[in-house]
Amino acid sequence: MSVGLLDIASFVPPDGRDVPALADALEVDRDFLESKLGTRRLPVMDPGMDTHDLATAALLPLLERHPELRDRVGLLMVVTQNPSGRGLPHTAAMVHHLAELPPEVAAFDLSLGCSGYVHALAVAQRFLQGQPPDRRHGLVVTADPYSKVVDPGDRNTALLFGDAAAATLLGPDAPWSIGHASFLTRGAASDAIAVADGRLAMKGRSVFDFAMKEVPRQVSEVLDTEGESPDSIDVFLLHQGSRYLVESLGRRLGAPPERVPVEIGVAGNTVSSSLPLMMESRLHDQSLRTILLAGFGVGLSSGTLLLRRREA
Amino acid sequence: MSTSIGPDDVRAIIQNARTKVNVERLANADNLRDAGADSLDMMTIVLDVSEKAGIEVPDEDVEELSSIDEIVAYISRRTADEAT
Repeated sequence: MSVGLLDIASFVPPDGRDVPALADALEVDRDFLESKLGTRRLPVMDPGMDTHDLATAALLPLLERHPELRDRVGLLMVVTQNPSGRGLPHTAAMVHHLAELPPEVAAFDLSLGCSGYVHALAVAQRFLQGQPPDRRHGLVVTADPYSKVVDPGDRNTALLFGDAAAATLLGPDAPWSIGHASFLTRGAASDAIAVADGRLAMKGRSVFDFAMKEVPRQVSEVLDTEGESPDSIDVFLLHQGSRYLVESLGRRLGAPPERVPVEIGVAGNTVSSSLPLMMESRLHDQSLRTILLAGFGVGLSSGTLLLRRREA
Repeated sequence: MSTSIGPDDVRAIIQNARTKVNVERLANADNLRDAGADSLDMMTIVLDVSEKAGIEVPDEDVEELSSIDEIVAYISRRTADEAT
């Protein structure tokens, strides 16, 4: 039985930045903020927390919903590029301890940003399908608090990123199957999103051009391989880089706006948590049969895959 | 291979970019930012121009593309350079 998606839980910190005030301080027009960036709330992880705490805050509710599966977990993957401490030990090891997972678990970090969720789902699925039948459940936790690295004085980034975490449970006999996945890396453009001297810097035009050129190509490849067309996809969940980027991409994909949700207003650009946060409310929506996921960003890299609801 | 583009091509690109620019009242020499295009609008316009012309526009040249006239002249120059 192929491994697929079972459930998702999330954690969004209650505290956050006053976005309108920050926009005024940065001399960013309110209309631009609303119509182009789209952010309304930018959650910030509590200063007393570190990445493993943020990740665990999403994971524990998920485990509480599935207590019978805790001892069947064979994988814990934490997707982050802002790990706890200096990354050694890995954040997944700390989450493993806090979540009291059994010892027979492969726990490791996956270093990717906004494309991380798609990569993680594909890696997790392939890994788990090679595990013994009693260890074929897995946990993918995205937790990448950019509040650690965003420069509050940078107009290019300070109004975009919010902290959040999401935990996804995978396993056999799941309602959602993971279909064809496509990946792309342009390492020559790796300096387009980078941290230097502890501060994030982003070349917006490079990222925009990359997304607008590469994501439609990847989506076409995935749809062609799966025998689908843009008209047959119930919803396109695109990484929430900005309202403008999502809407522009949606037009390039030829997808009707109502099938390309813009939800960056909820918690900002939460990096690899962007897609699972949107998935969480849709996972149990029985009217949805196909969901296309597309994540793109740091690397520069992108990942696109199709989720399909299994027929009962 | 690069392709020369004219003012009407650029005008159509600006129209398609869904900016606040009133394309019907926009003169070829008007500064696009002054006419209402913001930084993200300009990213779309430059991308669409580069794809239509079949050339890459390096970051250091973007500032030059500030009006229809300047965009047409830039593409014409780049196209001529690549032909030689």
